[in-house]
Amino acid sequence: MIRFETLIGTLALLLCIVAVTTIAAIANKVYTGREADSKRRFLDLLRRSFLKLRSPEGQREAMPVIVRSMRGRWSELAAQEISQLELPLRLDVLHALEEAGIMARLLRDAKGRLKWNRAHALQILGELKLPMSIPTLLSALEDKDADVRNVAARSLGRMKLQAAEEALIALLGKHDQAVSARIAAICIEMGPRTAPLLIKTLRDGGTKARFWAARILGEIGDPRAIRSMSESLTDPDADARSAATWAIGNIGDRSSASIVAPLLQDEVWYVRAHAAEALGKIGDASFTTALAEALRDQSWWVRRNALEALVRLGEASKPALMSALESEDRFARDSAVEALTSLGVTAIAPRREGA
Amino acid sequence: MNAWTASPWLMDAINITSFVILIYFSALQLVLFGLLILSYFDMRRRLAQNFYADYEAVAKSHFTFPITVLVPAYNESTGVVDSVRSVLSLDYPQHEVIAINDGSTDDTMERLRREFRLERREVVYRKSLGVTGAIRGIYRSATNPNLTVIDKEHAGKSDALNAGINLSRYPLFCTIDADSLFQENALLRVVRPFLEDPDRVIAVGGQVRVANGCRVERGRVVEPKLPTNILAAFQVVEYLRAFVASRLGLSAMNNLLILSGVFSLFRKDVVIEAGGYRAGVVTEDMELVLRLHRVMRELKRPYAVVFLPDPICWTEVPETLGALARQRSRWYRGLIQTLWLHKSLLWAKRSGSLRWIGFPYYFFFEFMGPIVELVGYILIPIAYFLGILSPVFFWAFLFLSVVSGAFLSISSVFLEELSFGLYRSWGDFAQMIGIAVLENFSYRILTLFFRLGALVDIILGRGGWGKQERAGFGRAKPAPAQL
Repeated sequence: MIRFETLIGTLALLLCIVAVTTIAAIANKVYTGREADSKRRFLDLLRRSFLKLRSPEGQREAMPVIVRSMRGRWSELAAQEISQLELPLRLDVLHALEEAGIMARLLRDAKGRLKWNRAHALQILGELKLPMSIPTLLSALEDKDADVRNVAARSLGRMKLQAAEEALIALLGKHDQAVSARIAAICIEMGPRTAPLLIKTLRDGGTKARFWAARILGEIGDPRAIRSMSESLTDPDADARSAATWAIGNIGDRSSASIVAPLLQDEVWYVRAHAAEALGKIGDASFTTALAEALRDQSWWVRRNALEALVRLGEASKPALMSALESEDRFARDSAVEALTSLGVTAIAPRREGA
Repeated sequence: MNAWTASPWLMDAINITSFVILIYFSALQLVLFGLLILSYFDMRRRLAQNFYADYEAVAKSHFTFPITVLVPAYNESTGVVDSVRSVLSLDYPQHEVIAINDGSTDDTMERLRREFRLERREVVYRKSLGVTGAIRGIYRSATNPNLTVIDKEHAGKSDALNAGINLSRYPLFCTIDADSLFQENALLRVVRPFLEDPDRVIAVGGQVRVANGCRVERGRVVEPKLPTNILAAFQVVEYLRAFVASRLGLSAMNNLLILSGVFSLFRKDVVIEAGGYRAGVVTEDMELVLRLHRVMRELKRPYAVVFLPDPICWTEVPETLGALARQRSRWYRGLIQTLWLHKSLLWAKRSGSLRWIGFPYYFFFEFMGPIVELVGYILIPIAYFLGILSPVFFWAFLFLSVVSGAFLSISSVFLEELSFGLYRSWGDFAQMIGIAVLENFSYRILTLFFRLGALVDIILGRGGWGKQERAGFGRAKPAPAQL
């Protein structure tokens, strides 16, 4: 059996651990309580230093404080504050940081061994928006760690520099879903100025790049993309085809309805589903009969999107829906009832089963 | 000395049983300690990820997966409106809410109809999963276009959730109890693993906290506070221990078998492939997660079931002994039933690490725990009457068990403070530390007997779900929830 001394020893050890844990919890509570004050004092000091930057004497006094702030535990906060400065003052600060070796250290840390150090450095580089850090940030998109890749993409997005835009678009579709989605979101934020590059990608890019380019152009809603997009409707890759269909619908150009309608017959269900959705968004009532036909599609999503498209088209789709009430397909009849009810038609008598 | 002490077989039996209990106790403490360490490192990693995560970008992104939130309600008239309102006002780019009135006999449906100006609609939907309870009507809100309410006949929570899945439009669905409230950015946080690894992640669970005692305004917990009711206060620490110190560790090994039905996010296509929620089980949430594990392993597909500590959902917990007893009995019966249904995971080759970690953990420590503890309590008087109980050993062992229990609870409180620090006042903090010690003499033993009661019920063939009472948020009284 167990020896008494062993039991008492274990007990004593556990008691010590409990005591240490409790003390640590209390210390942490005290520390957290003071952290907010410490952060406020740090920001006050930094902002006072910024106010002094306008005169040469003030600069001499303020720069060491600012440089020091970039070395401490609140360096990310300091970088955020610096990014808010007016351009001339920001350039002065960045120059001082470069002279103090901060930039070199950040660039070095961004390629360091510890992942959170790399993330920390990349985050600050993104805030400081220095063009010299773009190659480092781009190479960090290839980092082995997903968290670091995400921070790099986010930082590139924050920079909003033209050089970063081009590089980002060149990287479309070359990464995992999370980073690609982040890059795409950044491109959307940049707006129509990225459209020419994206249109070029739509024509010449790889399969995934074409997919993402179509998605972004659709979100941006730039009508200049319609021509290239209509060429993508015959893309051999179904993802690229569906993205282009969806994008045309999102742009909502009336003249493009006739090029989208044939895709209701596409062999891939999600292309057909996007085509139905797009026709509803474009708002051209010429294809209500084709949409009513799609209510009988073998894919549920195509049928659902066709129904919603018909509701969206409003009054114009009523004749096609009335015909659908006579369909042999039960789903088509039920969908017609749902759509007509949504359009305010109350007295509906669909064909009965077996009639 | 008495006649029995002369019997060597009895002495041997007692010695062997004591030894087994000692081994069991040591193994349990080691496993819990190991999970705590794993949880600590995983928590640190998650917090660092959060620090660098740009939730604003996720909220604005056009590529964030849309989510359907399912709110099943059976006689939840006091909390359902707040719950639905809380979900509708969530910060998320695209989400729909489907509340399912599972044939309530109170005025749940009336409240929903009045509050959200529901209008009956003819809706065509896909019957991907079988639903037993007939659908009486589908309603859309005139004030909130992304709210749909299904009114159906009562057939249980699983059936209600399956009906909601059938009607849902989006690729991910989230379940929330009608007596629960989301933290404002909970959906943005819980969806992150899906955005980062959409092919592998099939389910994500968030942390459930106790809402009793908290200040609630317009469906939001605005000030987390400890409840004044002692039973509810015990559960605050218990929930912290369960979620922060144990599930996080199991999730780090992809061996988590329970995601709380109060707040979990699933990939719809995988759930439909697995057959949806199973009818007739006591804890449908645990059963589904275990089945997902099983299906994915049988299909040899890489997958992950993740627990995240930062998406938080607040739920009401029981404040009366009766309600607590019913709730714990239900959970324990659910655990036994689910483990039994999926017992083949123990020997099937494809179970992988589930065979060695997840399943044995729940079997030996969650299911067997109360039984072993009971045997221990029975042995003490027997050994005493036989004159073979050493008082020093008895007290030392009891103290050891209390101290190790307190250590786990205090560590959980510490982890909470280290990560979120939601309970800001020193009073709440001191109370939680006090509870961490006190619960070992009281609450733990109480819940042990509730679970043993459930075991007796199973043996005697008794059952039932137990009636649930709700007080509603910001009002007075209790309500059971699913941990």
